[in-house]
Amino acid sequence: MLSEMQKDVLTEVVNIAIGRSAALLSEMTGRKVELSVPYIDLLTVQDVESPIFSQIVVDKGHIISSSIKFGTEFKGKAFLLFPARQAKLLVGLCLGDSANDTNINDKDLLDTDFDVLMEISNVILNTIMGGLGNFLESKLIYSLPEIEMLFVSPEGQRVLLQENMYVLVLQAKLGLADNQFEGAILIALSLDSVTQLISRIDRLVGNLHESVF
Amino acid sequence: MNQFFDRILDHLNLGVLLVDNNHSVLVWNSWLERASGVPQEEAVGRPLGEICPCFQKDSFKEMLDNAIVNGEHRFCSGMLHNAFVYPKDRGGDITEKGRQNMQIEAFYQNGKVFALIQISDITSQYRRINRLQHLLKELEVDYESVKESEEHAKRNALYDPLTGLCNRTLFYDRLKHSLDQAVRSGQLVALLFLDLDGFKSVNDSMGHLSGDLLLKEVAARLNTAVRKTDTVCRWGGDEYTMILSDIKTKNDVEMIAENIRSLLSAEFNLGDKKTFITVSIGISLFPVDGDNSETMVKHADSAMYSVKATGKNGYQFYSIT
Repeated sequence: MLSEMQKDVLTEVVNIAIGRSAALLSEMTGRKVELSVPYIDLLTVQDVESPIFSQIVVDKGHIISSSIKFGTEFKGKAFLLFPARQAKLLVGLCLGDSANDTNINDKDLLDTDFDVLMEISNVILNTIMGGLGNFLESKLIYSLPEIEMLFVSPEGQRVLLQENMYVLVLQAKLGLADNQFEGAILIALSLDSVTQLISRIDRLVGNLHESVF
Repeated sequence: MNQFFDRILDHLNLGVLLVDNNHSVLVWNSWLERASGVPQEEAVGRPLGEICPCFQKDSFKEMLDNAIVNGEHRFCSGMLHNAFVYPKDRGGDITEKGRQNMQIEAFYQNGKVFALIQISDITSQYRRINRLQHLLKELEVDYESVKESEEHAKRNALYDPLTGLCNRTLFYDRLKHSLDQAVRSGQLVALLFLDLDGFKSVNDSMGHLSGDLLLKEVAARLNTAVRKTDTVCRWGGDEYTMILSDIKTKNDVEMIAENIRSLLSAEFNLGDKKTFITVSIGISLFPVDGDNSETMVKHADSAMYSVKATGKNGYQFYSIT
């Protein structure tokens, strides 16, 4: 739905914002954290069935979903999703354990593990949404972050998003202590919000064209 | 009315504080007084960083600004930050500070924006989880050692500890399985009963240790004489049995028996000693010589005694005469 130029603008906006997340997470964990968003696209709920969506979003099966609602003029809900099988290792590394200390087969997450995951995802989602809010020159109001473990089937992915017509899909990569974690950020947006986002991007692209020619 | 709400605030089992855009404290409830040792009248009006040192850090100041300016809602886990409010004299000792979770959000009142902070104590939950984790680790270690000794007991129950060959229990189980399969496939099953000739004299002249070495080496050579699907068993003492499944003709069994005789006829090196040994083999065939495990064993044993009686070092099939 987005042209290459529009994707480039959005990727830059998000990657500048996410750089701040990486710095905050590094400070919190005392370890070098690298974050990047190599892929962004705007999809409709119908596209959820396309292979590209499944490839980007997450494996089928159990996933950790952390979400915040945001509102005012630009409104919707942002989800950070990543496979549950990576959760225990991510928590362990954040708490200073080595990869060898963590039993990656251990699927049982404790309440305190969810707290750590909630804070990490809170930092990431806040900075991305903050970055988009600044880009749109729109002040956002955020809800409490919510975290849960979900079992995702292809039908489940549709149900997750059916209330919303458009989904901004961001592939997210996090590097921590020589380990790579992959997840996805889905920002479910109303038609008004999508229009606002695209027109802001186009305005910026137009200004760039004018300054070049 | 204000007094009424103040009393409610003071009854809450969590810390509630409000700061303005200069990060000065406006609300400081009783929970925070107990947690910090700083009374409300001292806290209100002071910069938060003076009472809670973590708010002197840029990252925490930024959380307050982001709530007030951008409306962000932020959660901080006690697992990553330990505690946020604690008595001044415990600042250096992390273990005494306990663990707290914190939420920061924007609070709007009469056109002004403040940062509302809620702090809850998770120290007892953290300690409970810690104890639970230790308990689970101990249980895991216990479970591993139980599993290990179970494996050991299971192995000893089914295998001969000296040679590693299967014992009679496993032998009968496999024989029954082979006979059942042969009924379906229509193939023959051969049961070989082997007894070493002159083993007692090896034991007597060279000692039990050499005798044991000889039994182990015989077991190793017997294993090389059969297919992976066949079974070699130590029956007891110097006696072995073998189950050969899916046999087409009697001739196939003769070739294997001859091969065994030949393999065992080679010299045995038992440490610094050397010796030779021969074997007497009795053979029964299913279904011609018996239709059940016990009869098959009895007839193979009987055939082995016929070999012993007629000069040893050979093999014979069971015959009624």
